[in-house]
Amino acid sequence: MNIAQLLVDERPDIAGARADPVANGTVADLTCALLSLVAFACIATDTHMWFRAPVMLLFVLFVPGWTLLRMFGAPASMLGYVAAIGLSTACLMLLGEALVLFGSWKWFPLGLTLTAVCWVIGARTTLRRVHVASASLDKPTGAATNVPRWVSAVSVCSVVVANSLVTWGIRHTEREHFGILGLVTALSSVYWLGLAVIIAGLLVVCYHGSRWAWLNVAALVGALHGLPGLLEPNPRFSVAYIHSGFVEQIANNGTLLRSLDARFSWAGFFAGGGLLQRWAGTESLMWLVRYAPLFYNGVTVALVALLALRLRATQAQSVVAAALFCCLNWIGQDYFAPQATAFVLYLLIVTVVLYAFPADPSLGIRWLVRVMRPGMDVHPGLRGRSATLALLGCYALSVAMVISHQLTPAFLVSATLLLIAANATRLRVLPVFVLVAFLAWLSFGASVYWFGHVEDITGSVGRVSTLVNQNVGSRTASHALGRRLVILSRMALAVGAWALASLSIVRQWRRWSTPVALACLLVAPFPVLLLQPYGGEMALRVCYFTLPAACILIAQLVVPKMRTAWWQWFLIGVGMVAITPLFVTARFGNESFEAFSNDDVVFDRTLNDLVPDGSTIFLASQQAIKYSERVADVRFRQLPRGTPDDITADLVKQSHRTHVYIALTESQAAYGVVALDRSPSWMQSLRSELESTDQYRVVFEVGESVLLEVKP
Amino acid sequence: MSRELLSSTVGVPFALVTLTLLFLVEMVRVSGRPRPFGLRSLAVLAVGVLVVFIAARFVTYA
Repeated sequence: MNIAQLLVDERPDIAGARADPVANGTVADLTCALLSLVAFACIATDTHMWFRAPVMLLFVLFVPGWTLLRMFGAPASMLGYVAAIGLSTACLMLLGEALVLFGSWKWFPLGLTLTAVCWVIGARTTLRRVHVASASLDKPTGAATNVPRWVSAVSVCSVVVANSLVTWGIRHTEREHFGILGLVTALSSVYWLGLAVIIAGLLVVCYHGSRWAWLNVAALVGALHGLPGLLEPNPRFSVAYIHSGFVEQIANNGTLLRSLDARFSWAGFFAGGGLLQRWAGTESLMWLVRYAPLFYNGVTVALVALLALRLRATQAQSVVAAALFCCLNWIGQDYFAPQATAFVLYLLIVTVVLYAFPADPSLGIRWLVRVMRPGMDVHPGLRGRSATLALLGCYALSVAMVISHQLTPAFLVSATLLLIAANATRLRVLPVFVLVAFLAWLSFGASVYWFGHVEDITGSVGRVSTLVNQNVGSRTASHALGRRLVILSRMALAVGAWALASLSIVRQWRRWSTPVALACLLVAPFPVLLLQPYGGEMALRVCYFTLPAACILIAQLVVPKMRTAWWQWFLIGVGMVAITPLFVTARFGNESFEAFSNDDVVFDRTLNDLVPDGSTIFLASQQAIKYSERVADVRFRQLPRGTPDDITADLVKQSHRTHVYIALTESQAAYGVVALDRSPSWMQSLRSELESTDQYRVVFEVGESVLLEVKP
Repeated sequence: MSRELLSSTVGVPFALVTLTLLFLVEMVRVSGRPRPFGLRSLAVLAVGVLVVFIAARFVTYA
């Protein structure tokens, strides 16, 4: 089986259009060669032209992977494009980590070599393709479809009108006053109208079976996941600032601060980011943070659709699954972070495994087949050289994942083990490989992380009560009604998705066509819940990893395979429109303290300009911008508990060794009010009580934020 | 195992060899080539030795 024949399966109607330069990938080849050339020139001349950063971003996110795939004859298909993004990201992380560990951080020659190699291979591929295309006189035929011509106009018009409404709604939203429910109460009603128009357009286009529905899905991703980026004055979420600071540390110094933070032991993402920062010639990667969720959700939506099409979903079901993913992904793990990148790699590996190495579950162990009642899977998969290359790609992605995030390999092991047990794939060694790679990296690459405190890491394994308490109990502890509503909306979306997905499995089980692979992907994340509370975040991760399978199963439940009556689509639309406020409540319910005002940002910059090296800065809560710069020079700590006199006595002791400060900021104040049920003036009271001890001096104030220094 | 052996860097190349063996086993399976004699046994043995080595490091340095 030729790799080209296999990978165009997800869009069979263009199979006859190979002479079309867009469809056969010649345009993409040419673009990649051009990007490589410009990237080479930018690095070589160290230009400060405005286009350097976007060109380098496009280069590192697409070109190396695409060049590799095309060198081995991969076709231009949707899976090819997404695989190119995944491979490029993995290449960047592997190269970055290797350069930090073994290459003395020589980013300049590496950049020149990589861009030059990509240009040479890309130019060769382009010339070969042009030659083949000019030899072929076939005209693109395209498949005859029954889609009326006005359907595309409906899609375009709905997206244009909806985007205008969304933009207008965002401009008329009160940006500075997010209540206890977050964005949902602050948003203008016109924004909601815009969302309704996008969904209405999507369903009308879907009803007529047109691919233009993907335009509406793209608009939905932008309107829902680009919302804080469009609305707020600064990038959101304190952890994203920390990650940007880690990237900057590696980019400028080429070293890993393993004793400072465990994340430096899995530094593939940060080292890759460091390479991008140096090649782009920017001072940091904060310019990426604002719209990172759009990238991650866009790629994930494409992978969900590909997975759906592979697992017996129709075009309409795959569109609805992708749209549902947009509306149900409230988990908030899609910011500038290693786990977001690792999740994309996980989903890509699973998708490639099911496309390239499928097996028929109905031919598995007899008793298991009787219990599971699987449908037949006759997808042919790959053989020979193509299979070897696809396998090599999967293993390379796995290694990139292992060195970048400590948790995602566990999800991959669980998912692939279940797929093998259910005979949904003919691979057998992949989970063993990932497990061995993970253990080897933990033992040799991350030894600083576990030396001396293995008990802290493994102590919670199997302790269900501890895990439930940290994952659920501590998150539902607030008594404020608004806060409980936010938590309830999250639980409702998660439990509702799992319930509908389970119902879909049961319905298909009764028809002797259980979607075994989807059931495996839905169940696989749950055993990981028993391993570690992960600071109370493991339940969130489990939700995240079950979501792609859950969305596809729900789409298979609510969208029949045959064309249905308009009122059924109407009901689906009503359901989706009803979900969106719930999504915004769940997703952006923490916005009052996860967003940062201009005062917060100015405060952070001033702090970094003023405090000397070796200073320790205490925070009343961790919801503040920290480590955005000078990661190696300044330490942030949690303010000790106790009376102001106790706190002061503790800090005065420390001030004999180093400069000690207390930073009280607006985002910390909001966190105390919203998440800890404190009074609106709690931070002012704390400041007054501390100052009354006469042991502090005010270094500077910005708005309501203040930096206090302990008098030495 | 002695502490010198456990703290040495010998484990890193051995882990790389083990991972390569695992890849080769899978590659031979999926590409439909005839399996070289003893490849799977060698991979199983390498995985076993590596896991014991890593476990010994955990026990010693935890």
